[in-house]
Amino acid sequence: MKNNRFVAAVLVPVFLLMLAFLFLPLLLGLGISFFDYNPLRSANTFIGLDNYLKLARDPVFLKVLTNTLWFVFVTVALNIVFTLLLSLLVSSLPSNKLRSFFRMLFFLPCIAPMVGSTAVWGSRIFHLRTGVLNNLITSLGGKPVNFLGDAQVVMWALILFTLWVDFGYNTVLFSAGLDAIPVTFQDAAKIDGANARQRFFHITLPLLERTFVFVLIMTLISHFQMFVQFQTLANRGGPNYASTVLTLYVYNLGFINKDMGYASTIALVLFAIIMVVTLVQRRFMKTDWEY
Amino acid sequence: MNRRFLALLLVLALLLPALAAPALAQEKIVLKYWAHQNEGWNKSHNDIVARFNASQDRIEVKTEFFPYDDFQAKTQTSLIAKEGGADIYEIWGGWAADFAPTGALAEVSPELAKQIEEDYMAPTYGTFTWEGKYYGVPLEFNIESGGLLVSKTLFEQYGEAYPTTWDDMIRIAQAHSESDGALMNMKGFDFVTWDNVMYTWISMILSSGGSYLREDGTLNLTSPEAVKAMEDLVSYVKTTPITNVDPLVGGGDNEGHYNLAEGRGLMVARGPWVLSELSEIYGLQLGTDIDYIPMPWYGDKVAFAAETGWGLAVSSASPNQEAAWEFIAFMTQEENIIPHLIACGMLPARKSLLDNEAYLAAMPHVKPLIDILPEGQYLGYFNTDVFKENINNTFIELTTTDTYATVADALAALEKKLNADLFGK
Amino acid sequence: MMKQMRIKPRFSPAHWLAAMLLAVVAALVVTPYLLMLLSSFRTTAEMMRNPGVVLPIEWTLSGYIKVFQRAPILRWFLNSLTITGSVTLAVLFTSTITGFVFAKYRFPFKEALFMLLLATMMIPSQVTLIPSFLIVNALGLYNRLWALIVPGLVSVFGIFLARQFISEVPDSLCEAALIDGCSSPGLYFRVILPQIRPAISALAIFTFLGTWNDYLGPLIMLSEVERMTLPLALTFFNTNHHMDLGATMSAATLVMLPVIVVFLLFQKQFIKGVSITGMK
Repeated sequence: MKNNRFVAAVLVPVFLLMLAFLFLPLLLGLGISFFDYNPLRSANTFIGLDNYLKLARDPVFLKVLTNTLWFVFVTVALNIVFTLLLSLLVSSLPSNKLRSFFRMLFFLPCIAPMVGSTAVWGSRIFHLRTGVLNNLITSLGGKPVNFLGDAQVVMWALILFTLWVDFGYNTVLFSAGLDAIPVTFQDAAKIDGANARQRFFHITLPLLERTFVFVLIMTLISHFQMFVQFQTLANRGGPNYASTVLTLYVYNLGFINKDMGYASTIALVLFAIIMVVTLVQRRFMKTDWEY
Repeated sequence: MNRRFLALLLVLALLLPALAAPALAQEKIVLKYWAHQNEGWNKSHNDIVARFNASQDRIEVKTEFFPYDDFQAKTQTSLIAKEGGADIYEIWGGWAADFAPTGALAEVSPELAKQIEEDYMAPTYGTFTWEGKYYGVPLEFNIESGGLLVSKTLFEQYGEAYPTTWDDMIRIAQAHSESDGALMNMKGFDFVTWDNVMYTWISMILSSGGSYLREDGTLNLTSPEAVKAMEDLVSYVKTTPITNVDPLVGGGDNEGHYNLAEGRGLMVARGPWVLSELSEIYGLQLGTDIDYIPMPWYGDKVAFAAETGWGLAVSSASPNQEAAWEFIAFMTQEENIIPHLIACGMLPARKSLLDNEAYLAAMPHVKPLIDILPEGQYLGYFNTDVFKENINNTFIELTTTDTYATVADALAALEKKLNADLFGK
Repeated sequence: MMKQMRIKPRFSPAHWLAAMLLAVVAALVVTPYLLMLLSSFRTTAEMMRNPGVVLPIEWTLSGYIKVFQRAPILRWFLNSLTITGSVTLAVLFTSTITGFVFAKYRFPFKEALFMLLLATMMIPSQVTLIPSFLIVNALGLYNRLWALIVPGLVSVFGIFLARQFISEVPDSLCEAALIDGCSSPGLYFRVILPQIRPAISALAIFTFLGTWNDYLGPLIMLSEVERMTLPLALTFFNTNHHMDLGATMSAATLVMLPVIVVFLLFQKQFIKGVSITGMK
């Protein structure tokens, strides 16, 4: 169909908005990264690539980068395995009602405001004194652990929390994908004498590929962008940056230390990482990913 | 879904925010006054504002109180935006160092500037000063050294007398501290807060005859006095634990004074302002449940450093700066500031108020602090939050990891980083 | 679908085992919310003094009273509602109509523009956070609810989702409507929209949740207490020195309640909406 007037009437305002709130900020961010930028000042000095050179010399940046990659890959890997298993369990149930009941319940943490969940987990689950985890450990005769205050443990606590908060989403996606696989395929394989494991790897998984790729990419992107739990569940990314990730570092540099030039530089690094991960993944998966 | 319905929804959606915007009556000059949340303090702010609003009919001051973390971020973003912010900000001295040089704050009115020069003590306005001009009026003399909060109940129960020497204090603390892994059931002497690790350490250095500054104004954190004092502080957490780093790292105990109020703390190094919080939240009474006594000195000297504490500043974007200074002059005059100091448990910034009878009658326990105020040196013109954050991080590393072989190594790294971050040297 | 053809035995022992495992997971999901609810009826001091206790020793409403007295929580609720409502409706409209254009029309630079859209999906919000703040401020929107509405009017994800669904509406249907004398907007409203209801509800859900739960946006773009949104209530009772646990748990309960109610009411659409995004 053709109707250029209608197309223009729709696309011009939409792209103008995107220009103002997506492309322009991206360019502006790129521009700011070449300045020693503090918006309170009337004049800011152009410092060329200094902010980029600073990256290599900033030990905190390296730590934060490692934290981010570690957090994302561990959490996403655990998330995918766990949600795949759960969705197999859910889909195996013969009762429709029960299936939707579990899906609904598992989805609950995804819809509740994350700041609320972090408040509960921080004070009533992980807390050294008032957290039920430690109550449990001591009643079993163990020594209490400061889950959020111990640099060795805090990232694991955040990974656990993030799994809890996010697993419902992928469980629903996977189990919808599973439900869409015609039962006849499974039945045919059963008749051919394939066991459950063989059926999973040779029938279910390949047929789930589209869903799988979608889930993987979306989960990776969303985990790179997570922020709230690092700020409010961990003590502002502490102790000693043990739980600071790139997003929080950008926020702290820009809005607490007022070094917006350097903050923009790090934000662009984050953008580059997400871009690379997405591209690499698309290449590997060779699926025409439509989203 | 038909077209008309959707169009109606869209129109409604676009109208809603317009309806939600509050309509302001613009007859009087309305001044917005922002401060951080603290029940006792906010009540006093509101009292003074009410008196000011009643005292004349041209200006109306409106207060807004924010959670501390949000307050800091919002002060910053609103000063950048030059709108949507307040006219008057309650501002921490250290923040002014970031704002005044950028032109975001208005210069103090000549009348108040004269008062500052004549009557205020040096540490109270040090960081409000930039190129010889003032950008904030101090509300208090911020002191975190020299005072010790003690649990009277526990001292009586243990049959101990209040300590008069440093060694005595540590001995009592060690005798009664109890821990169970990461959990401490009794903290004998707690100095671990965002502020007090730094203050305790600096006053230990000064008291034993050292200095934390070099002649050129950069930091000297590697002197023998500094190393010795830090080694002692680390040992209080690591070797014979009388406290832990929970309040710094999170996830565990709150700051020492809350811990003490909950029956798990014996002595806490903290400024006198905590007393009002303890009576507000826990109903603890001075003289019956708790006492506030002079803290023994680490070395031979009575010496400490103080930073510029809370003060009032005016946004340079405010169209009503004169009215704002008028309110600030009102708030800082004797009859208003004295009740405020009492309500907030703060010490006076003005020399002329040091022997104020009403103040001393209401706050007899801070007399020892009043006596040492003249000994306090100004901490220095730099961002004290950066200073504290780095010291605290080093302290956490030293007490919970084996990153550094010796305390001296850690302090050398700390000194190098701080001189680079704060002075570019 | 083939669902009717499932011939499976009623609960076998394996099914029971699966159900039990799932029930354990379900219990882990619910526990924090129960703890939150129970804690909201306790005072901070009581909780700190009795760390191992789960049930309130003395039931009290003091946390709730404090929330209502100290924070303009109803105002924040209205603000959240205004922002979320406006953004959700606007996104539904802009996404479906743009998706429609990309799915059904031929026009110059179509491929290039579409690739451009695709690339923006990868821009994390933190990258544009600082510049967006500066732009919002330059437009005079700082500290207005508009600051959160205007940048949210277009959702790239929404456009993709809508395009995907609209591509599947048969061309013959559109052509028939055009022959009947339907205009392009008419085609959009009368033919396309009714065909993609599931996609619309999925998109509505995503947008609603994303906007309602946004924490960083309001923290940076809004300054006055009166203009804040609900998620900020959760940090409202923290001082720089300590957290008022009782009040925070009450606030958390109040903030979560509307979302949970909406979710329970529309859970079928929610789950279906989420499910279909992964299938296309």
